[in-house]
Amino acid sequence: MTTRRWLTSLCLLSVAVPLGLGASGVAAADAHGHGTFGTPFREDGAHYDAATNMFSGGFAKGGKTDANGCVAAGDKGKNTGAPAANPNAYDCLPAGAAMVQLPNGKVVYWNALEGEEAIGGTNSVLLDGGRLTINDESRVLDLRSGRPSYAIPSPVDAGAHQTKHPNDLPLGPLSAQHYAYNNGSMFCSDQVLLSDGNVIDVGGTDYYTEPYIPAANTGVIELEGVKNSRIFDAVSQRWTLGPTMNNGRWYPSLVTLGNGNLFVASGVNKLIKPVYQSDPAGSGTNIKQTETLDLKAKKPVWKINPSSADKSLPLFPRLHLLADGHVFYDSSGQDFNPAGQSYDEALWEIAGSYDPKLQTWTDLGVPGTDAAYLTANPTAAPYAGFRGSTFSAALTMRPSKVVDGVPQYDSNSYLTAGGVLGVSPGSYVAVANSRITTVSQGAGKETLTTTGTGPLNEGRWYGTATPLPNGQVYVSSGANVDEVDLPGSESPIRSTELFTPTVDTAGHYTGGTWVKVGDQARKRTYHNNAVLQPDGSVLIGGHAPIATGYFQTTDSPDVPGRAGTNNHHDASFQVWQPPYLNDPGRPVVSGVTSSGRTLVVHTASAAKIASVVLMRNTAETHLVDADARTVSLPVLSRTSDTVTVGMPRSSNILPNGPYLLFANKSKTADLSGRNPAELLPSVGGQLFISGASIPTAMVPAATNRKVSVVRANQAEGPVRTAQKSGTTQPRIVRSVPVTPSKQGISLVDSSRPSRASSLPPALPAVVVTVVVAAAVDRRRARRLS
Amino acid sequence: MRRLTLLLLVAPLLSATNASAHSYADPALRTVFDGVQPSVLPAAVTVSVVPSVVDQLVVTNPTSVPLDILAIGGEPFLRISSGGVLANLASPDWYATGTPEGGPVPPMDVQRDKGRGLPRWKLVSHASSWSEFDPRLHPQATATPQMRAAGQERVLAVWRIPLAYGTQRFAATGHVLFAPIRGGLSVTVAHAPTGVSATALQGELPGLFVSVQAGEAVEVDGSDGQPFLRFHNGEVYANTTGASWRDDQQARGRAVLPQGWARVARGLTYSWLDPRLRYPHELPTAEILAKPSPSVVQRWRVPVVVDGSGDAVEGTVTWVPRALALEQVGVGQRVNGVTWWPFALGGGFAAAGLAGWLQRRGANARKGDVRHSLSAAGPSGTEELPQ
Repeated sequence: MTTRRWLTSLCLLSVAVPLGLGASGVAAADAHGHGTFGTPFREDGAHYDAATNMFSGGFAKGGKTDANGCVAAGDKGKNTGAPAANPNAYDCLPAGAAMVQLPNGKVVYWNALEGEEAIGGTNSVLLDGGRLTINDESRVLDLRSGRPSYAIPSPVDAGAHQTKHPNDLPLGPLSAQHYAYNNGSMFCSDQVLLSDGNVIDVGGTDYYTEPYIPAANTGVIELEGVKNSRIFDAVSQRWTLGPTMNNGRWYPSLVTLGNGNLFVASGVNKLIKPVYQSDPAGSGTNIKQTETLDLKAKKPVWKINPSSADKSLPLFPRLHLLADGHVFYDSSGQDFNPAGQSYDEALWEIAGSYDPKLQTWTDLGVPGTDAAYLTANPTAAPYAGFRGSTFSAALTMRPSKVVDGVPQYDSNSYLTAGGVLGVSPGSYVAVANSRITTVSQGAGKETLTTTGTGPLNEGRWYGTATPLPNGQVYVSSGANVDEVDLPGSESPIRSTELFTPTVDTAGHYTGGTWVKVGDQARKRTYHNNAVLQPDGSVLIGGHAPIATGYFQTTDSPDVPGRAGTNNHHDASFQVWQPPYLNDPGRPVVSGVTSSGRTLVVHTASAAKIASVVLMRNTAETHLVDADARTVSLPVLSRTSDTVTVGMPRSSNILPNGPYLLFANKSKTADLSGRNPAELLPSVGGQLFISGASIPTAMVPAATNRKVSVVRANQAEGPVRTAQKSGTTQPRIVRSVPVTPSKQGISLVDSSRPSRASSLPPALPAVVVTVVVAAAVDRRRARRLS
Repeated sequence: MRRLTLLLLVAPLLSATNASAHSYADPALRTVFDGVQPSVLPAAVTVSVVPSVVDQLVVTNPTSVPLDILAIGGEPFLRISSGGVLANLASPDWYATGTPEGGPVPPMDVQRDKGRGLPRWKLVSHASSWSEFDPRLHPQATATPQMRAAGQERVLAVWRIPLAYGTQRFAATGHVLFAPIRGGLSVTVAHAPTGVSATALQGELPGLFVSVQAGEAVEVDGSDGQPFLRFHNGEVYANTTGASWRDDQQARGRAVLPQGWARVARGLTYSWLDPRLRYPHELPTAEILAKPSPSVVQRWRVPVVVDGSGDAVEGTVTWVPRALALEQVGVGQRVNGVTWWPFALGGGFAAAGLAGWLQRRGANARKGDVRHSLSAAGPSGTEELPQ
């Protein structure tokens, strides 16, 4: 090893769930090569009976739980689990409506519409939901031991309370009534992982009643967007308040920019009656103002971008960071306001690109209208344009070329399938159509094209897509029609499907096919969710439906040809094990060596490694994970036990934050990596990417109370990480202490330019990308490194 | 045809006029307000039905003469005048109309079957208007399978709410309409000049996305016949004093600040909302509705000058029958199998309707400006086809 090559930690560890087993630790054999499902499990330890597909015998929150995970009446007939703040509400286990795969291998998740499913008797969601709902609870799920364990973060509801309500209508004696126990719910917020592995969550729900009729203690439910952001500390498992946005946002989308800043767009301030006396022009539509949070600032503050950055977008717009650093809107989202209409909704049809430097948007076109696409897909015309309640899944970014060992990326492709067609009122019935939108970038120009794929085998509304390390995409959960339009009218879809893209020799996506890969156990429709786990399995969770007819929770039975509804929250999880998961041929990565701008992956399967990918840890809710990306690193060379891959030079390709590294082994002689179905991914190892403009290394201290940014100039010799795996001590260029904000939060900024990072990019400096296993599990890391 | 905007099950919520409302589980059923009979009210007094969470009867009376809303039992339960709103606490209807779902339960001494005592009036508002959730707006009504099969609009029931203005008796009247979802409108581009690419944007107010080739100098005319947009040297400029700029900005909820020509975008693309692409009616004629195939109901034209040569982006609005629209996206059989009728108790739709009404109210206000501009459209604009 030369002085320009240095060994970093070889502790490419799995923080994985042991092969995705559920509570029972039993998974069915993969007889059809479609993967298998683990046994569903739940926080209360309830027994799952496969024959009836029901839970029983659980205990949580100091009481017995019923089949739906709600605290049942106690021995004295009292609902022992009623929250102290609101004794009229039931207490149920939270569902995973939002789920984040933390770098320490755990999953933090939280509920949606908490308390709603138990509204009954003379109450209804429409009239009493503003009073009877409660702030959503959060949980931390730890599957690393193979058996699920749970922890309750503090505060359990993340501690936000919106107390100012400038948009209340002047209704005199019928003025709005607000409640302290549900004015800061995390329901309908969005979140991303910060560069240090903590989580920032923005927006949410302030429930209330407007108009309110005091004599009847009732009125009409209203939901207001929350201005707060909240930070989840992955190690201490505590929530603290973060910088407050300028707009209350319900259903916003949050995306990390290449420079580490956060960009938030859309959301609605007031849902049912979007009438703003202080901003009449803003009534009846979503928030057009965008905001940026500069994490490099001493006291990070959300700043409203200039009006040139305004954009009319649907709720939860499907946003992505492009390779050129722009933010892409993929002409899809939720059109629910509550019926979704906005007087300028036609503009949601246009895919657009936001330039953070110029702070302007550029219209790129309407997906599915390009002539080449329509020629190749003559029946696709009705499916063009905006798609509601669908996903926009980032397909693997493949380098177009490699220059001096540095991969160049000049396009991004996103897969969309299912959902409902058109802006409001939309098609109501879910479609099976599937397409890939690609934004090609070069010479300062972006070009939008559409590529047809085979359809889903079943029309699917609100399916959650989970990209896999080998480039396939898995979709789970959903329903056959738009449940939000008419809750209770849907038929849940339990079948899951797997998409395999086709890629030409130039690395461009040319299509793909969907195949069914088995049925999940539970019916999960609205607010369903899924995340990729480090072992390559998929953790399926969530399901927090709206009460039937916006009234009360009612289930309909299964009948021949039509699945009945599950109108109760589902706090359970289930693991899907892809076909590769138990394949004995999976490669084993024993460690990674960094050298210049390359990574050397150590594996006995080196001769068969077709690609190495970095996948951003999943942070998913409402089908949205704007930071999701899979970056394929090109193989530059290989030995019998190593594969050397090139690292990109732009943080637009790899924005700061936690990533899982997978090595994909080819099952054939083809090492192009263009056939995902022939690739066997390794177990993922956790690493962090940092750097102001060029991806560099970051090693989080064990406490996660400070972040050490490790950078190196090649001219200055080898640099090692904080892991004690060798004789050379790491050179800590800069440590970033906790930066308390005005609200007393802990915002750790790992992207602030350091001395090294301020070096001209042309210098052949940089790079240490260190693979660190569970950042908090140092003992295990030392033992295995 | 580029695409179809499918108006399926929820369409009536959004395409209804202000005079109709939605409080039935079946979204094809609408409450329609016909007016007051006889017409005895001064102009300042208004009676209307608006879709809130469920339909509401809204009465405004700024005069000093009291206007009473009479209960099912005949007694006045609301008295509205310039002096405010009085509620008759002795009438069970005061309680029954207070909330969308008919609650709260009246006190024990106020029950329908125990007769009515003297009115007990209480001032409940200093304003001169009131809205109430009157159950009489939603008489029992069900569309039969035969009606659904026929797919024709039918009046299923009529309703009447008696009122008194001083000594004059009259009534708010209306009916329940079965209005099956018949299809949807699709806006398409049929022609664009060489060097210009145009795509229609579907929506309540449609729009256009235009892309020009690099090096082309392209000018788009507005609905007032004046230049509206210029694509030049990789930048887009707008005439901010023109009618089309005003229409677009107002439709986006932005203030219009006439500043002459101003750069509005960099690049070769631009999108705007354009009333010239909008079909002005809720439904086409009965003749077209009866056709099983698509029908072009409107042609539109947006003049464009490319490198000095006059041309236009032209297109159509096409009515697509529901069955055909469903078939084209492969959901025809499935939607017919959806047993959604028993579900939903109206609340969700009504909530949606409220938002729709609020937004439509804003849109209608803007629409007034739009229609004004259309009257001066000249060679550009809308040609509604004879039907």
